[in-house]
Amino acid sequence: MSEKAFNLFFCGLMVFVAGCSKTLNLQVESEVPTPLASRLPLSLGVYYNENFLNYVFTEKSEVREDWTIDNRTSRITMFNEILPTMFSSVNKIDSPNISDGNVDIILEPEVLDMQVALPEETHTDMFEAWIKYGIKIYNPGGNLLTEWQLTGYGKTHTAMFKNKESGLNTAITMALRDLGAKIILDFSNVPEVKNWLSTKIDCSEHPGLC
Amino acid sequence: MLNKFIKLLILIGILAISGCKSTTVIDEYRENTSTTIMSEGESIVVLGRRNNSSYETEFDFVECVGRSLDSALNGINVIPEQSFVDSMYPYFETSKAPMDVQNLDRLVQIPEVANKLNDFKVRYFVWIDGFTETTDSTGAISCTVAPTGAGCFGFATWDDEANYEAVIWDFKDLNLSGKISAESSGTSYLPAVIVPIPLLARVQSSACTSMASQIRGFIQ
Repeated sequence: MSEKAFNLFFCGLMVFVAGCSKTLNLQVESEVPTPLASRLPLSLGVYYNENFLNYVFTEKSEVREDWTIDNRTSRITMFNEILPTMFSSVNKIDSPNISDGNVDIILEPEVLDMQVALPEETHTDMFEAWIKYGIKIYNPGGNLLTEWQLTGYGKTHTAMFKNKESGLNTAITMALRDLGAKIILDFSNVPEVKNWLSTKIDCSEHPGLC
Repeated sequence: MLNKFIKLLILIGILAISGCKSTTVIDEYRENTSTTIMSEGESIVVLGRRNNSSYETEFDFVECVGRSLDSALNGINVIPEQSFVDSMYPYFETSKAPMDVQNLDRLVQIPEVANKLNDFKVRYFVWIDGFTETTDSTGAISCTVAPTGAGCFGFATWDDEANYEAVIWDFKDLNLSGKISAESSGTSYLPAVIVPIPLLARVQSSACTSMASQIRGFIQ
């Protein structure tokens, strides 16, 4: 066998093996655009707990023998990008139970669940991702106002030369964008938050929030 | 042998000429009969609807319509979809984008949104919804790789259909200007004698150029 033919055969074999691999180790790289939002005249304390800082999607099953999807950096970047556009100031705090006079409201986000689907699993031509968050909302002092649950969804088409890493990265990026959009636009519509806001801000200046 | 090869080439040539044609049907509906003419300096933004769970309007189709309009409209700016959606984040994300003109009206009550749309000088929103799919396929091709060489043999054919609808909103008057639908279909062929020769019906491309041409006629 000539060297050229061997190289061609070897390359084909590698592509075949990579395409059929049951393992996945994905480090999600994504960015959320700077939001166009009006700031609430409130000071926010944000507490990133262990779950939020360290959650990594893992799965060991027959069809997904060794899957790891790490989007820790992406979600922290997303929160750091959107929260300063929602509140007049944002402070990272070490515990939700603080009675700091400089903070009006406290958020503690955590990842409740994450699911992904490949085209061959759903028999569609889509890579899909769902990320479910729970955001605990506290008064200063640590009194829980409510726990708000929301889900971000993202999908992307299959395409030639788009492998599962690339497809899932795009789907997860879309899911994070969706989550960010829901946090920004739906936060003041959470009933408990809406009631609380009416005691904290001048409703004549922010008629849409009260 | 040479005679057979020439016959095969002729067959492929006939297929290329007679087949691979795509047929496109365009339908237009205008909300009012008054002409909707854009002024120089105004912008149009072409966006894809992606909230249907069973399909997704292709980014490249939306981009194709935008590019075709951009090259044909003199003095009128066509804003690229991704650039617009990123600039307006989060208001034009799939789950949050206005679904009708009334919702757009509510959206422009938000000062930041109104200012940004004014910066863009947006006059028209074009929302495209639809997809291209392969509806039927027959035939088979087998390829072999061996140390002595590689080659394919066989014949495959498939039908593609593209169905898209463009809804046009007039941002100046905050009303629905009209709707344009494009339906395109065609059959592609892939004969293979050692080397596969794709004879593709450019269904999506045909729908794109037809739709862009109709939108152009609509706003100019």
